[in-house]
Order: sequence, then structure tokens, then C-alpha cells
Amino acid sequence: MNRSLFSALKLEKLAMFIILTLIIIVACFNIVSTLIMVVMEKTKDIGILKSIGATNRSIMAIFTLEGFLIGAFGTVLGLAGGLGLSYLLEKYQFIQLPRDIYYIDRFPVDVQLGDTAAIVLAALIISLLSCIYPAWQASRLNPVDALRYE
Amino acid sequence: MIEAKDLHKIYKNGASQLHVLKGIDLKVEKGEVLAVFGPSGAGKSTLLHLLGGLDAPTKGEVYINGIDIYSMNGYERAKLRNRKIGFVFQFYHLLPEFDALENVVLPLLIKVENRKFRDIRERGIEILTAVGLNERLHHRPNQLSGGEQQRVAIARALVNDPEILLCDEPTGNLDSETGKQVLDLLWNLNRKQNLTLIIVTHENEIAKVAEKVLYIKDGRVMSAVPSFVTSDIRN
Repeated sequence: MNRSLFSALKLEKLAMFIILTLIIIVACFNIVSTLIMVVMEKTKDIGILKSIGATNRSIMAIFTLEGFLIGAFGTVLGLAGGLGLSYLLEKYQFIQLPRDIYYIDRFPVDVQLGDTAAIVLAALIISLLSCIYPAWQASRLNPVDALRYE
Repeated sequence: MIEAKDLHKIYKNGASQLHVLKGIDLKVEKGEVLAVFGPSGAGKSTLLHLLGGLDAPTKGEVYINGIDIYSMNGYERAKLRNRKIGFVFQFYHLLPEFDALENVVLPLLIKVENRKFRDIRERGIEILTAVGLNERLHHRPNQLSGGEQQRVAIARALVNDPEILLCDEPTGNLDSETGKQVLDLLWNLNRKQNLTLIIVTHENEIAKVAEKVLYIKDGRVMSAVPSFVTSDIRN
């Protein structure tokens, strides 16, 4: 019994997974392109830092850190937003479900520490990974090209 | 102490090649002043970048204290730029978000040598005072005049006590009065601290003081220095 319901739920889960993956990919591209813009904007400054002895490694560290901080800030915002919304949903139960399809009439909320931690960790790792390419590009800039006259 | 042997630099841009330096030899001893003259596009700046380890020559070697700096890896060369070499550029190249003091202490911060922030700050103030800018510590580059910005840039180049100062048209963007002040500052450093100076320039004034004059044209050192340079020297 209930086979059709379970297969429908399974399909729904798959669809959700695909949609969330796409959202994450879009977010990654956002981080990457923002950072590439920052690197381009700071080209001259990178040249200056290199001329006074900054190593490629430290240039890479600077931009990775910047991207990671942006990602961490976003993660904190998202965490607060998500937890806040879950809390409100649990308290006021404003999403109603049609009784004839589901066995419950309110959207259930179950915040689990493990899930939350996994999501936060994944978000941080993804933002860190997105920084690597732009930061690597920044570190490889030729200082002479970067300092070419204004 | 700094020596270049048969330096070549070729820029490749797609299929076309630009042979900027065609075999430059030079030698500068400690405490000497070398003035590099030449028309625009002769390769003066490229030469300076190569001497300072900022770029890589297509062929040839650069020796600083007897060590071929292009046999080092990038990390060691960055360390060398930080400790032994100071760059001064025509357009100052200060970081616009930082004030004068912060700009000056950057090489100290990059050096990473268990120094306390207080010591770093004190050294920054000391060197800015030495170039006459103790009243301007917390001004940003856009609040400073051209001459002041160039003095901040010189202070930044000096903060790690380098052995060589490489100047790319240090007065090129300044009026003659401010330019003279900047040059006086450089001569003082040369005399008092025995600092080696290599100056790319258009100003004949500099050739009068320099021990050595190099005239570069089309990527080669010309043995005959043109009269507009030498006539001033002899006067």
C-alpha cells in the first residue's frame, strides 16, 4: 500500500535535489565572477604588493580569504534566515496542506543539528572552492603588466 | 654589486615579437648612482624591472651581490625584492585605501619577522619623518600632493633598508621645484647611507650627479651619449 505516494515523494526529492544543486551552481558562479571583478579592480594593487615583495602565495591567500569571508558572511545570513523562518513556521504554522492528500494539515518543521551543521559546512567549503580559481589568477598576474602606466 | 649580462627581453604578442632589450650589459658598485637615459620605448623601464627581479629576461642574467636572481625561485625573488630592493615609480603607485603610514609599513608587514606592531609603527613614523612628512601620517594618497606622494613612495621603498633603489622617472610627474626636492632627497640618501641608485630619467640634472650614465636606444646601450645629456654634465 501507499506505493504510489512513496514513489511520488521520491520523485519530488529528486526534483528538489536537482533544483537545489542548480541554485548552488548559480551561487558559485556568483562568487567566482564577483571575485574575478575584484581581482581585475585590484590588478594595480597586486602589482604594487608584488613589487614590494609579496609572494604569489600571499596574494593567493589574500583573495582566498576575501572570498571566504564573503562566503562566511552569506552563510551566517542564510543560517539566520533559515532558522528564523523555520522557527516562525513552527510557531505560526502559516503553510497549510490539503487534508485529502496528506495526513497532516500543517507543514511540519524539524530542525536537526546534524543537518544544519552539514549545510553550514557545505556552504563554507563551496565558497572556499569557488575562491580558488580567481585567487590563483590573481597570484599569477605579472607585476610588470599590472603596473603598466595608467 | 648589481650586474647585468647580455640581457634580452622579447615580448610575444600572438605572432608578432617585440625585441625590447637586445643585449644590455651593465655593472653598478655599491653607493654608485647610475642614470639611464633614452627615448621613450627604448626599453628603460623594462631594464629596470629586470634588474629588480620583477620580470623574467628572455635571455641573460642579473647578479645581485654575485647571485643570479633569475636562478632563484619566485618565492626567494619576492623575498629579495622585499629586503634588498626598493622601487620608486613615476606614478607613485601607492595603495589608495591606505593612509601614508600604512602604505609605508606594508613592506615591513610583508617581511613577517616577529616584529611587534608597535615597532613597525615606530619605524614607519621614523622613515616618514626622515622624508619630511611627519605631519601627514594619516592622510590618504588622494589628500597628498604629487611631491608628497612620491616622498611616501620613497619612504616605502626605504623602510626595509634596501641596498638598491630603482627609480623609474621619479620626477616625471612632478613640477621642477618639487622634482628638485625629491632628487635632493635621493642624493642625500646616496651620500649618507651609501645607497645604490639606478634612476631612469629624462632630466639632465640627474646626469650631473650620477657616476655613470647609460644611454639606451632601441634596446641597446649606445657608447656615445648624445650631446644634450653630456653638454649639461660638462657645464
